[in-house]
Amino acid sequence: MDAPGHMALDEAILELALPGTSFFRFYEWRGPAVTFGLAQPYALALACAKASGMACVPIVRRPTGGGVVFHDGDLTFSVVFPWERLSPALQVYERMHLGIREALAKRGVETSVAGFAGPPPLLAPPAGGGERSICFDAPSPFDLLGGNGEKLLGGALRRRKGQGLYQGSFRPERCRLPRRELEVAVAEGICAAWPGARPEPLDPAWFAAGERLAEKYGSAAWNKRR
Amino acid sequence: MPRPEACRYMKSHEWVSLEGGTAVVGVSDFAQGEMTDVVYVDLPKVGGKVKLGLACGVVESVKAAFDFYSPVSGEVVAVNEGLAKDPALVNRSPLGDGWFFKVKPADPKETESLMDWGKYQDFVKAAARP
Repeated sequence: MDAPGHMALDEAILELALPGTSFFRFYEWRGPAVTFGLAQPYALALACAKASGMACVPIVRRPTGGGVVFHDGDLTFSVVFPWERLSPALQVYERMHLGIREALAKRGVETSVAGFAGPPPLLAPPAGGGERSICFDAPSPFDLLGGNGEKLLGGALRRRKGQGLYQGSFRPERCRLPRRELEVAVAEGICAAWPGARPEPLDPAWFAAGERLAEKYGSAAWNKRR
Repeated sequence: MPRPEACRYMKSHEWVSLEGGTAVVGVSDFAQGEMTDVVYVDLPKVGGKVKLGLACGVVESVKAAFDFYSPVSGEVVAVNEGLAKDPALVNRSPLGDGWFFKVKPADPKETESLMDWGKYQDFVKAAARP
């Protein structure tokens, strides 16, 4: 599936999943792509993509917040979960990433959760460049870090009608686990954080709704709206 | 700036205040505190229609985007342009300079179905319990 298709399917699941239910899925990318946060300017995402040699791949605005993410071999996944009571996003990150940290620890991979040092500057590039608007350039609060402090996993969130959507990106090359084993660990961590979370197969109606929404995510009206 | 006691509230934490023939809309102090640092507000368009209880925009804070819902039905007659330059107004003054948009209500009595200040305070206390 391409980048607009993945964004659309995530929004469809968020919209259509029954309240109180949890689902997760791992992406299979058709090719490299760049996604950027709901509120970020397109020009910023394009500048970051150009600087990283990814200007020629699809650049798509996500339904979630956060920074620019390069999907060039990352392990990408999404989780829809109950988020009934309005509460700080950092609590969701903490819960999700602690679950995954525990699952990795069982496999001998030691990680830590980044501390809170103020909000990340996601919307505007610092003087001289847009590096700090890129998700993996610097840890945000409650990101998952490797033993050397390098960021392993970052996420982005959307809350709608008492349900949450988490979109996560894990850099497998920064972790010594084989990719398949890493996927199993992430799934285990998600289920620890959200007991009852189910993986695919997803409801066919969600795919149909996602196909209808894919046009939006592929459009200039959506991606260049800011 | 409306007094909190003069507003009506949604369970999703939006407030509405009727001022003459216009309804002013924003999010409550509790909501801004839970969403934390607001970095962007996607507002409805002037001239567009909003409907009670339906999503009409998005607030983005630290790495999360929150849908918000209209507490009144009608036509949007103004939006808070100041939020584009300074979205943190929502945090600093949620009932004042951080208002979202103004509506010409289709039915001003519609907001009577929402919580008054006393009921909203009880609702927030219950929601804040772990």
